[in-house]
Amino acid sequence: MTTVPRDPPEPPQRGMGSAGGMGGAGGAGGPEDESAPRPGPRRPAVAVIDDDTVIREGLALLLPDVDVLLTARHLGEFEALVPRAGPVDVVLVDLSLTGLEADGVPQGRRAVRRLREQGWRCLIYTGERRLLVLAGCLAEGARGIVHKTESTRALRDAIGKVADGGFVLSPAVTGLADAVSQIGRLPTLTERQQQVLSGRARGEPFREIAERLYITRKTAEEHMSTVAAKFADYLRTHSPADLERELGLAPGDLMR
Amino acid sequence: MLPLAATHPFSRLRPIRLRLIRLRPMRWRPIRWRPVPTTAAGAEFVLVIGMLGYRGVDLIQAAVTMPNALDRSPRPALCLFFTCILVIESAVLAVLLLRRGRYDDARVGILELVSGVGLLLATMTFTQPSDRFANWADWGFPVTLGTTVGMGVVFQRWSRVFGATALLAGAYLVSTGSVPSSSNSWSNAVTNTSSYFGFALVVRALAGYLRRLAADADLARRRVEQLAREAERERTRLLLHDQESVLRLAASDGLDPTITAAVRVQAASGATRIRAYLENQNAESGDLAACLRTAAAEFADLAPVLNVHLARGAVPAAQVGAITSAVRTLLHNVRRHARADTVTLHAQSTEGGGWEISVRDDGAGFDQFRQAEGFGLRVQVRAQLAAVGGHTEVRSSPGAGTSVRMWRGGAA
Repeated sequence: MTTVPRDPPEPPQRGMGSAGGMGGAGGAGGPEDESAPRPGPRRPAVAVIDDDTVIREGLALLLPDVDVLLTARHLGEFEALVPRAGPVDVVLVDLSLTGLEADGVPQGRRAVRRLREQGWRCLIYTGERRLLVLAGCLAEGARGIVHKTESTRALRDAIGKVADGGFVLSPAVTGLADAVSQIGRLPTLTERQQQVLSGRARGEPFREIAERLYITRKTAEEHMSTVAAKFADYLRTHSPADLERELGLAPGDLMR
Repeated sequence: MLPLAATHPFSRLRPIRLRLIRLRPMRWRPIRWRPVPTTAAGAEFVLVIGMLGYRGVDLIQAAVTMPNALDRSPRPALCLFFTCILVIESAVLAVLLLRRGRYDDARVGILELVSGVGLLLATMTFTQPSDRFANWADWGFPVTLGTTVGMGVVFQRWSRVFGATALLAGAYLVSTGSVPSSSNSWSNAVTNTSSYFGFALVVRALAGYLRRLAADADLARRRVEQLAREAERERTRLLLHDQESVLRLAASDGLDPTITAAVRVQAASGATRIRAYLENQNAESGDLAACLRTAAAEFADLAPVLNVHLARGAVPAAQVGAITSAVRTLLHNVRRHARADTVTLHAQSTEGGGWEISVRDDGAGFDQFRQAEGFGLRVQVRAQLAAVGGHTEVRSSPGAGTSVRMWRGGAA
């Protein structure tokens, strides 16, 4: 990645999530979970762009150790609010925001591109499952993808990794990356990186991959982050049609 | 299905044909022969090839005996001229017939008949009378015998075949009429004349039967298509019938909350059925990815991740059933016991028709050393896959999810 994100100073302890009281409810995620990686030394500061009120207002409660600095219904609102919000580590953005195309406010991959041009680290948080759409966002510079069906723990992990400069692929996009690699289109992957990728594509958790390959969990995660960056590079130079052709799929197969 | 009659039965001949006509520089491209389709168009094409093959053999024989014929001919120049006319006429016929792919146009038939009669009469001008029986110095008889074969193909009505053959036979008798009569030459003339009729009628009978056979084959195919369409429509009708009432209820205002809840449940189940229906259409193709999609379609609530981009290989029907049922059982287990956040289905085709599938969840898992495998895992997964040569490996521990890997080597 060539984009250098704004390097924020220690963010102020503000935002709804800092109260922390409700996040542990139901054990959905949170700091008490031993298997989740400990967040970095500082709390990541997040901006949320989503047309869903529940997501905008609920995320701060679901992610008690994340500071939600601002919430916006669309990119225009985000751009208006962000100068006053303080340093943001990660912009969490939904892909399909209702009724925006008509108003000329970019969404989807165009929104991702604009966020990247402005220097933000962008994490897609979406219900979108069509692989080509997701791959397109990676090509535009998104740092990661998390589906809304995934656990809040997975979301929290992803925010932490992206805030630390890493990349996060959703399981389905990991599968796509594995397929592309298996047909020899990611030649810069090392054998180790390929092994980690294959494991992830099969849903294997980092802990087990690390045990199997006699490496630390952190090393496995770093391998995967590198793989994701290389895959994003591949996507920037290959059209959706290239992708389908190289995988031997029918046109439109990746849009299902 | 391909349109039956519209396509040229041997479309790969087109490049050759175009080269003939446009005189393009020939580029060598190996031709892969495949059987002529057993359709009406295919039958017509076979008749054309038979007809042209016959003519080709005639021309080769005429070419071989040409020096001898020229030697014996009282007018070698005329002999050469009419032989050239014959070759040109044959070439025009070949181009016409190969282009159309069929020989059933009466106009072409009449043209061929007229040239046959003309050439037969022309042979009188350049052959010695004594050479006009069973001698290649006079190619009139053998070549026009081929023309009668064509008459048997091109004309559908027996009377026309008979009439055309009579014309040729008449011309033949005229061309031999000036021969000094002897019992030998007369018997030759009669035998040859009856050959014209014999060939024409036998070929007409064969061509007629071949055409009826091909027409029946086409009819049968159309009927099968029609039945399949009807069956498909019936399947769709059954599927949509129930969903229509659910949609209607869902669309109405001010619904009682209890009914709304019921409608939701029905809608979810309907969506699953529709999904299964759509996926089943793929499953018929028998590829590995389709097996997994079919199985996963019923478990939308688990939102399984399907990483099956490299599962492109075809799988025999017996394995399709075993794989689909095994994956379905595993997903049932996940739904019932695992309380998983993420379920990942991964499948990949391997060398020589083998495959490797893994189903993994991040749910509760179980203690493999204390807890025996249930009926589903033991019978529906392990035993069923073993029956088609597959292997199963289960790994699980409490709190660490469950991973099931299934595979089968290729070319066993």
